[in-house]
Amino acid sequence: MSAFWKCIPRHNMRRLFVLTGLLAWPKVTLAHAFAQTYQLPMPYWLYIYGAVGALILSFVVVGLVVQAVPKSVSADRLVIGHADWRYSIWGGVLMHALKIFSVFVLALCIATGLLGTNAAQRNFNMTFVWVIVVLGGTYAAAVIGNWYSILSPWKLLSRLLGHVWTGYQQGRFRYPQRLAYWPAVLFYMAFIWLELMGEIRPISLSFILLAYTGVNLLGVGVYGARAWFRYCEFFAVFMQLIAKMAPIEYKRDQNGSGRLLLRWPLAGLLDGEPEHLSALVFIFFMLSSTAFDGLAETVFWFRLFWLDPTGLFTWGVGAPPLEAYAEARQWYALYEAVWLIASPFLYLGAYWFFIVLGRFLARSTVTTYQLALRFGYTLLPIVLAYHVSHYYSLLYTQGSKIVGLMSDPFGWGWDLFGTVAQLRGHLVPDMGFVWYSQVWLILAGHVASVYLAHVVSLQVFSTRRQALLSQVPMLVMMVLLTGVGLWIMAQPLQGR
Amino acid sequence: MTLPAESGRALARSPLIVVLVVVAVVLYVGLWFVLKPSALMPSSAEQPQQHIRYNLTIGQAGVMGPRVMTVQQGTWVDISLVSDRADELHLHGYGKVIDLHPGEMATLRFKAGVSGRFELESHRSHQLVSVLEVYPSP
Repeated sequence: MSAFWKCIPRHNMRRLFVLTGLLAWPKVTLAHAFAQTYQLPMPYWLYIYGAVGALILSFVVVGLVVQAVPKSVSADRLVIGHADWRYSIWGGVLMHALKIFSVFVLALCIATGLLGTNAAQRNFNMTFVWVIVVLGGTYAAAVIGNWYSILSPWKLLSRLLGHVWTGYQQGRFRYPQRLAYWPAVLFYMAFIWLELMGEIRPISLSFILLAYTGVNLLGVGVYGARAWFRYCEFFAVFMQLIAKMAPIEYKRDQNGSGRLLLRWPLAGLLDGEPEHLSALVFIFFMLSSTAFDGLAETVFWFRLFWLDPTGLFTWGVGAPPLEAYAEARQWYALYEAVWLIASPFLYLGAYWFFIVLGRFLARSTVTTYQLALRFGYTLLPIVLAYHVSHYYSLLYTQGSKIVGLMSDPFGWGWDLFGTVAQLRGHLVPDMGFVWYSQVWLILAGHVASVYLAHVVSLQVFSTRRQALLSQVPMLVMMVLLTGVGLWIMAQPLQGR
Repeated sequence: MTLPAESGRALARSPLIVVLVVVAVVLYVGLWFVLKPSALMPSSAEQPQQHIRYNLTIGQAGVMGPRVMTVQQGTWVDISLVSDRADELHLHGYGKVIDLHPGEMATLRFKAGVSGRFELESHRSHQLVSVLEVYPSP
């Protein structure tokens, strides 16, 4: 923090001391304040090491591995099971039990927030929704595939409603194609905004869940379940994207019977491409919202606004932010929201630039838009690796508390399963381990993305020379993405 | 689509590329040992000590004292606290809770055995009083 003090003129120090009380704005009680990661910024040398590694490994991938890409990687599939087991007695019982459980847990989360304690740590719904589902559910989808498409409580509720009300699931109107995935992008942005800045308590979380249930059921009634859960329900879109990376896939064959397939991890990303610009924005928001969450807690971010290095605030309001404090706080909320919303478009802009460059170098006749879409999925390993390295320790420190919360979901002092006292203590992973695992995870994601982009480029361009040339800007962009990600993780964090 | 795979395989087998890759990997592994410092504390932080004491005063004007308390893992830490109002402070991660009575000094003493970044928070106002950063031993 010493750097922060050094940058303030001496005569302002006194004023600042008076203001420090104010400056200690109530740190937002977001998921990560209620559930702390306990993470220290990554040491600077490790950031440099990671960034250099991204560069070197990129060339290793290009130089060695890609030269001998097995052409069948994307097509290799091993049938490991027939989904007919779902229709066997035990399979059917299990599936029904899981589905009932899914709807029950949604109802429980709403009920505990409305009726139970409003202390975030002691209410079941906060830990379950923000940590178990949002983090754990995501990582589960990356391993076992799209569990959510079967167990989404909203899908199940709409199906239930469809049994009572014929025609409900078909909807009343055709889904307007030009809306594409934009509704999902909007819902996703609203969700992250609430998570990071909404000061959510258990009771407000219940209202959010209720409102989202209402919106989903209404949406299905208007546009039909198929379109709604494909384009609008952001969690379904999110999970579907993550599950493309899973080594397990569920598919129906020509006869309509389901099969469980084993494939190479990430190979699913080579099937198809994002269908629309909005899907690309969605993917970039997956990355930029994680980056923003990291950046918003750094000294760098804090100084960028409160010390007004651009002079914009002072010029606009007539006083520096630290003096016009009350007004500045409102602007700060707006400033953060605007950057959050703008963030995926900034990433998209950079991506677009490098795609244009690659297209120029390869002298390709494919349009820039088509190329941008074609390489869209290859970014997902970077997205997932960054997400995991940011949040996995939270899953460990806070997620483990679900064992105790299960026994006392409302915070009323129950002990239903006798687990209330279990894992109560603080599980804090060793910082050394966390740092190293973060760097290795991010590098692994980077290597995977570089590899996939090369495989795609070999499919898109007719000559190997074109493919290689087109990948030079792509490589630069991925090194930058990884470098910026690591840089954010190495930034000192804002104290009080 | 047919790929000119033969030329690619030939390239992969060419000894020059293999040598270059091996050199790159060796350099990269070596870089780890060159870059990794003997201590993981940021250079601006205080020198490793057996025992560190911090003073924090909570008053109308806010909190006086360090915004961030940086220590090496294994250090004994004393945090002396004075507040002008009754309060309850919570050091996250370590699970320490301390009651404050107006004008009376209270001291939180513990060994910083777990590395990480831990907030010292007021349970009354839910405001951040300070942050304890414990850097792991190398």
